[in-house]
Amino acid sequence: MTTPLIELQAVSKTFRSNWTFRPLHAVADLSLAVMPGEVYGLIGRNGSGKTTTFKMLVGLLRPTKGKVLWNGTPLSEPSQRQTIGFSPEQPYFYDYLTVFETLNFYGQLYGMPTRARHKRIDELLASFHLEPKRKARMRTLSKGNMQRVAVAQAIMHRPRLAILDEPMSGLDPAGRKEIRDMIGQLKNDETTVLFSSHVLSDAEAVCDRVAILMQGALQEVVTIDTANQPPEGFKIVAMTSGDGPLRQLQAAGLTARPLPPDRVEVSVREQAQIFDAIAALQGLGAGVESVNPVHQSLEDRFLHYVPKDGSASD
Amino acid sequence: MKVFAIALNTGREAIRNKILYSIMLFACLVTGIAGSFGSVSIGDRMKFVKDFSLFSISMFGVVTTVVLGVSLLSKELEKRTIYNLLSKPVARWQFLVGKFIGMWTVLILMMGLMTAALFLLLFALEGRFDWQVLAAIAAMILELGVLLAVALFFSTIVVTPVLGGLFTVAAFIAGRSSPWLLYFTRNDQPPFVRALINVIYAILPHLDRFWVADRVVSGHPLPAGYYVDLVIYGVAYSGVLMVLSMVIFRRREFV
Repeated sequence: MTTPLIELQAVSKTFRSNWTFRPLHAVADLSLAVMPGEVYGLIGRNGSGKTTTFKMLVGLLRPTKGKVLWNGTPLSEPSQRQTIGFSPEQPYFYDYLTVFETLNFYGQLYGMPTRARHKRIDELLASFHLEPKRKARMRTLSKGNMQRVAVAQAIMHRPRLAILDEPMSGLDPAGRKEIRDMIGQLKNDETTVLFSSHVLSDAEAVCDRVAILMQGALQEVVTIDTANQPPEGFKIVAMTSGDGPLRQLQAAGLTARPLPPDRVEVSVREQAQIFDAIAALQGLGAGVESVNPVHQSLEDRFLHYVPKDGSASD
Repeated sequence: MKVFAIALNTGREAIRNKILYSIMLFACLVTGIAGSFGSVSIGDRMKFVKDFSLFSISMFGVVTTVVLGVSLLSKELEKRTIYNLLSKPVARWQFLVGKFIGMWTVLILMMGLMTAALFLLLFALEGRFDWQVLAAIAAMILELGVLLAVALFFSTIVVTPVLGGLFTVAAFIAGRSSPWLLYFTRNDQPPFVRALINVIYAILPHLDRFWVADRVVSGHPLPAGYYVDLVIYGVAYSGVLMVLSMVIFRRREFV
């Protein structure tokens, strides 16, 4: 069995208020395993524990309970982060450094030799369209360019695991696509990617698996490979005339709804029910046009865990 | 290499900071003014010029050390640049040592420039270089190293830079006047007061030892052995403070 590249075993993080010492459970008993080469997403509302989880992975916070394993061994020493890249949620850099100096500095912290560092900086500046900004001071950059530098410094040393906290925030649609493509490229290069996003379509587009977090607790791990996933149900569309067939289908206990113009849609949960539904439709003189499997979207799954009163937000 | 990279980055940031230039320009101006004041002083003109200039250089060095020293950590925390840095394979001690070396190097450069300005002034007034002044400056540089370690230590235990700055200034004043504490260890004091004062005296940085300008200016230079002792004391005191800072900083979390 393959060992997960990074694994959280029943990890909890509790903060205490400065004055009242009241506990705040930022992450509660979280267990997840990210396999080598996989793109793994963490989604959740603000305050759901995504950033706290990432900070525990990169040593900025210590878990109150539980273990973080890197390749099967406890992750505790800074040297173990040699093959991990991290881009924080809000990219903050040294104002007075230029883009080149910033990337060079982080490359030095990863212990990259000078020549390899400079070569890699050239590659990254080209692929992130930052070449014209090479000598620009960080404080003069737009939010989008700042985000690009943040991601670039995280993958500067070609890490085995890239942890990207909200890498697409602040980017325009073209910039978001650029980051999505870059994540795809990282996957092709067998780099494992763990990232968080508020934009579910982005997560759906690039992730192999997505963990849904709510109030620090794991709700569900969703596999995004829809082609190999069993469908949630099936929808049959048939051509009818008038309301008669619809009422008769409903009277027969089938879930049916009108689909203008002159069509009905029948929903069934099991594959075996398809034939009964088709027979019923044909019995009413309706011509079956299509039968399609229904996959629940990531958004549907996510919204399932969001309380209707919105109490899960911070 | 990582320590060197952090030191270089710290130095680069400090050098590009306009505050540093303002302080240095002001220091050079004050040194220049000392030259003109010398002509109206009573007694030995050159003694006054050297005395005033060395005092100015020392004070500007101390102010810069306190201002930049306490902001070393607080600025990283406030701007959150520390998140990116410490998520890399960098040990907390490497971060602190890098910051210390970077900032001390900047202070040495700054002191070097102010010394150059003083030497030019002295050459213009005396027509020769007084190399003994260098001994006083070297002792000041050592003192700034100790004070920087004090500032860094307080930065690791307090939350705000203002508080860190106040503690550092208090430590500087107490350190420069530490011999006065021994007055309270006379035999007419209760034993526990004497014991307490002795402990406080031992803990405080003996910064008065680094002020050798009076001896240099009055033409009574100290023996080389004194400077060797000074180096040993400065390195040991800063070293202990740095280790304490590392122990505290190692436990720190970044929410």
